[in-house]
Amino acid sequence: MTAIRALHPLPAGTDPAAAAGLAGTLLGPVAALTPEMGLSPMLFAFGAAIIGGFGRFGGVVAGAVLLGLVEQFGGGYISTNWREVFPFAAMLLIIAFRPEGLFGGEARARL
Amino acid sequence: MLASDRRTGTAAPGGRRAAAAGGLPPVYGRRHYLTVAVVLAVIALAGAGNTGNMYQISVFNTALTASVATVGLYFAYQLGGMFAFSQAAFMGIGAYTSAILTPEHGFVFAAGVALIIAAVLAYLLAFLLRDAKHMYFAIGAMAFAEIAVLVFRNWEVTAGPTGGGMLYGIAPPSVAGYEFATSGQIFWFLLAVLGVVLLLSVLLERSPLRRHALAVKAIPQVSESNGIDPRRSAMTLFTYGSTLGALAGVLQAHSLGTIAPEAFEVGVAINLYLMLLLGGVGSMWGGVAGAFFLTWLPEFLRPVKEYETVVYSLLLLATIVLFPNGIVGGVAWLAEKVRHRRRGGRSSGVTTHA
Repeated sequence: MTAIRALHPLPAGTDPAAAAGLAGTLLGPVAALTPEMGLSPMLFAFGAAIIGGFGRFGGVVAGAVLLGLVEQFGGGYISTNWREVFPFAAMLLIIAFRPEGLFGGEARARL
Repeated sequence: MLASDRRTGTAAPGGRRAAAAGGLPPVYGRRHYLTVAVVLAVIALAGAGNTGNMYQISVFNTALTASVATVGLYFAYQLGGMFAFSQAAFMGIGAYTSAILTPEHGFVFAAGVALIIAAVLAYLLAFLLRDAKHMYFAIGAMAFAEIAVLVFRNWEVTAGPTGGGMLYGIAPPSVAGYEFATSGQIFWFLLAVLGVVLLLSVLLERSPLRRHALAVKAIPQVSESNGIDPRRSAMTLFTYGSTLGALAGVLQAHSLGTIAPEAFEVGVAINLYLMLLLGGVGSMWGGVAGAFFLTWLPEFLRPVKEYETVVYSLLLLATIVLFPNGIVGGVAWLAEKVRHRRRGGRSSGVTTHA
């Protein structure tokens, strides 16, 4: 039997909120700031998490990097006008053929 | 009992009694038809006095259009179990197709082609994402929606590179030579279309497809072992719901006369979700109630001026807290409370839904 402390020193929402705050700080210098700016980066982040597979931290990072690369290379080699379409098309195709993301499904702890 | 089964749940005992008394066999879910008539009559009475007032009637027209889209969302999301964040994108597909085809081919043909294209795309999307569950499907639908908006904004056919995807001067709807030119005439046209949509939806509500969908939602393994294909019912309902979304887009394009890509972004789909949730996901009537509530709310808040956004948000929060089952759920609960008191404490067990 293993005892897991039910009361983490910080409530579970704090970490992600802090990470989101950091992401916002990093986004500030490269994008226009408006109160309504949140939705499209959020969708992008969701997409990255989904195609990486929620299961692994590394998968999420890989997903985010992959989406960024698809956007830039698509824009560079295929068509500049349709640059923004490529990451969404990639999301759609990855979910279609790997419905649980590239690197597997639910979050699991190795015991 | 599932929340969405409430209406049929209350109707069944009465029907059984009638059958036992030697009457005709009960018609499953017959009360829906009465509700369609009542809903249409209430909207007609509320709107009839305002057909002369351009502004007031245009709010009615917006609410009617949104109703069609939210009823579609009810089928795709609540019955089909698909997170249809693509609903606004399908509105856009309907709106652009119909707006582009109308000058050459006329309204009815253009609208028909728009619905067929939307239905085919919806089925393809559902087929592509057939193995994706919950959030995975949601992200797939959102990605589809983003692609659709980008296409409206960049494609030559939708005046993308030159006009930013804005189309102007779309002809008002005309059927068999009669043109619904003024906002007042468009109101009656939209009401008639909503009536047809509600009747079609009632047929679907009474069909085996709905029972299959509910069974799949409640106990997927058991329903599959009983020969119900869980994907088939979900894909059919998603296609139907998305096609209704496209119909709402067609109506919007021709009643406003102008469309822009911004009107079909994911945020708009989330707003449609809000309407459905506020109205009550338990039945398709929730979609209609929520669409009217959310469209009229800002109009009622005009007197508070600069605090409008704050009061609006507080009222939304209050509605969600006070009516966890939506407006329709809350009204049903109140009606049951009153009936309960009159009968002196005999409960029919209707309020026990989660």
